[in-house]
Amino acid sequence: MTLYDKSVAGRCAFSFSFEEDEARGESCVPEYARASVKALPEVSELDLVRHFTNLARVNYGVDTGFYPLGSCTMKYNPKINERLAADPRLTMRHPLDDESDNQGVLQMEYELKESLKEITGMDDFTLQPACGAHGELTGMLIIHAYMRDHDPRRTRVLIPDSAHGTNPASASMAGFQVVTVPSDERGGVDMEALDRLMDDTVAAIMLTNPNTVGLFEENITRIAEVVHARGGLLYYDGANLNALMGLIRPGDLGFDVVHLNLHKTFSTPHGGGGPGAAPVGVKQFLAEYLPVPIVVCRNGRYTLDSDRPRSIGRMSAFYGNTSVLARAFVYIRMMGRDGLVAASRAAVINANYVKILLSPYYPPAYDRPVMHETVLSAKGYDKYGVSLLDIAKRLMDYGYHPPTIYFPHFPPHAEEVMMIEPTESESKETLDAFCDALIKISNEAQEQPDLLLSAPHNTVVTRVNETYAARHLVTSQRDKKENG
Amino acid sequence: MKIQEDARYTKSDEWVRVEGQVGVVGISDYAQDKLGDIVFVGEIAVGSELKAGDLLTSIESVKAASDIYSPVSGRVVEVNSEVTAKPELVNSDAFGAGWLAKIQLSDPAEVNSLMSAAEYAEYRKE
Amino acid sequence: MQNTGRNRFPSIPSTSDEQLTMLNSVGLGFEDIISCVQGNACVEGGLHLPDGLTEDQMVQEWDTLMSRNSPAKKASLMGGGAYMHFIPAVVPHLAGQPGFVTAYTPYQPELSQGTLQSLFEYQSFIVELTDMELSNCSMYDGASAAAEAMLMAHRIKHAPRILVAANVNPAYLATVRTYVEPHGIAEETVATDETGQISQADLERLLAAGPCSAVLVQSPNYVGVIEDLPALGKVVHAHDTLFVECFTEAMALGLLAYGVGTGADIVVGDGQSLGLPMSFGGPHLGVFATLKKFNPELPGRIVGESVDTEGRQAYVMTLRAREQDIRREKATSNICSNHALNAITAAVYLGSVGRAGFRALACENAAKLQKLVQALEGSGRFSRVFKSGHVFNEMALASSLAPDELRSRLAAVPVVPPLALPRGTVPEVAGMPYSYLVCATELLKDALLEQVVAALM
Repeated sequence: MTLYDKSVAGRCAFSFSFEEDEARGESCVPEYARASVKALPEVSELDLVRHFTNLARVNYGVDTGFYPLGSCTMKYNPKINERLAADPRLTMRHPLDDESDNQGVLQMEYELKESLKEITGMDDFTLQPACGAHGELTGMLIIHAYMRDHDPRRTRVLIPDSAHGTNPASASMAGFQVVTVPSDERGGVDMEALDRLMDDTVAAIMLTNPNTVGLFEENITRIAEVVHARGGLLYYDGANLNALMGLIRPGDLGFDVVHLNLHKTFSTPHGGGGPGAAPVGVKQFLAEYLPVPIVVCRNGRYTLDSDRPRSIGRMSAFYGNTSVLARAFVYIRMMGRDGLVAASRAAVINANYVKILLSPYYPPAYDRPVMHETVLSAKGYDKYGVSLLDIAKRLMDYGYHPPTIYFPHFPPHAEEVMMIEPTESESKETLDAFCDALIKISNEAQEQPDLLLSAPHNTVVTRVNETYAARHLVTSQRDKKENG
Repeated sequence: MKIQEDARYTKSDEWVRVEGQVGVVGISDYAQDKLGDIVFVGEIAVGSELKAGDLLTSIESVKAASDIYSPVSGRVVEVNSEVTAKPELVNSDAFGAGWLAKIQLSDPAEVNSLMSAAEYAEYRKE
Repeated sequence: MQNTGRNRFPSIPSTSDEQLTMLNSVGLGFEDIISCVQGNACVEGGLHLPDGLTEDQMVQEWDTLMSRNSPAKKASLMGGGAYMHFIPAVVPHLAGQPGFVTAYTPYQPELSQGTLQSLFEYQSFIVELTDMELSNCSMYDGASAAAEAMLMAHRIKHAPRILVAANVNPAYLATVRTYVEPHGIAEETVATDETGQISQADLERLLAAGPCSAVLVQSPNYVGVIEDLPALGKVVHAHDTLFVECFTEAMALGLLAYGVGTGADIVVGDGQSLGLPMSFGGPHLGVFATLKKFNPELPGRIVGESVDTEGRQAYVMTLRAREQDIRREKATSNICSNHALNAITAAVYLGSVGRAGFRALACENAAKLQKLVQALEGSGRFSRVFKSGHVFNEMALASSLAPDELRSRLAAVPVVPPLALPRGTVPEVAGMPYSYLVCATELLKDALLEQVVAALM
């Protein structure tokens, strides 16, 4: 039942001392522009509270249990981050207010920027992009602008076949044509193909490192050499940075543009799909293209600098997702130099441990040690009539959120792969229990496949009919009423 | 896997059935099976001039999207409005009621370079 | 890491001993695992970052930082794209529940009905408030939503040209430009007239000059004036062009008409006023609604209603084949994560204020502004720039007071001062060389309003 279903005319949850005459307000708006009263629910505060409290209860979050989604870095969201980010001295700031009133928040953003520069080895950052894809678009627009000024023949971007879908989508939105680079049998970029494809029409290569199968790109130095020597730039998708903090820096590997996902690596919460934040870092020669404004420090005073004539412009109305940036600032400040490297170390150990426990039942995609996530195959289970989807749904009955499934989808694994990223937040007991569950499910697949095919059984709803949803599109209460 | 004998096939799983000067075009049963439950068939403009290999439309299922290319050159003279309203027809009857467009053939000999039913069956043999 | 004693980092549970045990199972040392990395330029001697802080130390440091901001105010006379409104206690309480906050994107609907239903309800509210047919479950903010609307219109109409009203919020215009630039889409500006509204004559002239994918109009516009959307919609639809309406102040949805009834093809804007604090500019909430016939081109995620295997009502993300993970470079947008938690917050807010409350709030805003402006004009130091323009809760006022003086006069009043407009943004008024965008919301209580007026007399 929705709030509309629970509405009773005349009920209200709102308590406010109005001082003006409602009719006076209405008369301010001319008739052609005035709407009649719009249909919103009428519920009591207790109705509202029960409604959303019960909805939150049927949601599974990191606070509920293990959430091994590959490449999502579902690490714990420290509550001190939440408390400080909710500080009214931060949340009540108007972005257009005088800078002298906002020195605290500007200093926080500046210090965050400086620490991100140090962590990544990049020279300057914008904090404006709102989520990973937004960061990718920003980075690719920077490259597009640079090439427009220096070599407009370069209209193509190389992207590995294993890349996250946002990579080609962002490149395309930035005005580039996408050229796919195949992976080799060890799971990295196929160097022969790169040699063939990297020419003077290519502006850049977009890489994730470790890549989306959790493997460190062994040839990264050579890739950087080839691409740079032939006039291209290197873009780093920072989604998997959790494997590398304090160990190696994308800037030192030769990347020219980098985006980070604060809602992955830097512990800010996912919120059911955002808001996140995706700062974009560049090497000095690209800094003039960064979107404005950029927070700078001059003589101990923090200011927003918009005097960048070559800037690509703006990616949003203001300066970035400040309360998300604040959470990452607190996280980095509390972890410090030693904490960040400890996090990456633990993340890598956890992923390799899970891989070794599960390998006999779900063979790994590649026979190499992995970084912070592992890709395992469920291909053999189709002989029991069971698919990876069924295994994933059965995991829910054991109280776990399934790992990422059916991604990445590229040869030689076809489609039946799952990607498990434990993160450093999980204890050995949790990993043991999770692997135990997957091993039990492996046996069930052979002996009682029906348990998997009809899973999940213990959730508030069972498998949802996606075909029905698309063919009988109902996306609002109004739709429901109209469809009868 | 269903095969229509009197159709010719492309490597990207489109079929064409010649009826006089016109080629009726659709996607194969193999293709609809791979896509899964189809929820959307993109608009095709009547009157558009196409070359063999040009993008005809795109078809979406709940989990995938496929670009559909015209197997033949010519002008689109008719479009199947039924599949816009009921995309599931492409799943249930890919060679019949799930046809997509009728193209006035500008070069009828083109179909000879496409695969025969037997050749396509071999090509898509799992 | 220490071999004995407590873990130094509470967020990393594994002890050195446990890590050793795990590595033994793997059969490799840590150095072996990262040997693939070692051949490259590894960080020597650790990152140059300070030592980590404990929680109590962090609170101290944060306190010191935040004390460098001016104290939080009770109301804001500044709008211009971010607005201070009353947020009922129940809103952060419900939206901040860990079930919502720590959840991921609802790819597995069986475990995500909380997020999915809340977003369905958000979509429902947006459809009602914008009077459109289909809403997605959020974008990042109003500016990027407006930009994506232009790209969507271009995908539908294919004309490499768009028109934008000169009085759209400048940051929105800049964002639109950034997004359309690489696609060779030309952008022309429609002039405004002396009423502060867009000039219909100039719009007609520009539309007649050639094909155009979309016209972007903001109402209330940047200088606070309400546009005649139905009339503009008619002008636009006399040509094969899409009419895109945008708003920066979502409170206006409580009183003003948008959408189908005014001829809109797409409505975009920012929902920050719906229960979200200003937060120095973000995260806010991109609202995006359109007509059902355009759903193949709609960017962003959509939640739909369906059934489970037992026939129970269930919600699920739908029409996903438009999105980047399936369509890749041909996706309607690259957007992946959006601002879901903020959309859920807006849904809670709208459920809290309800049908009557939202209307009453909108009326309060409009009446408050009128009261403030009348008083300010009465002082002789301020004058409306657009005498005949109708406004909602923002208005352009000319003044004889310079920005520094205005600020210093208001220093003792707990309000954010109005936005000083750069010279030339609005027509000059004789004897009053400065101009401001003045905003009033329901937070400008009478006592505070009197303080403001007294300070500026």
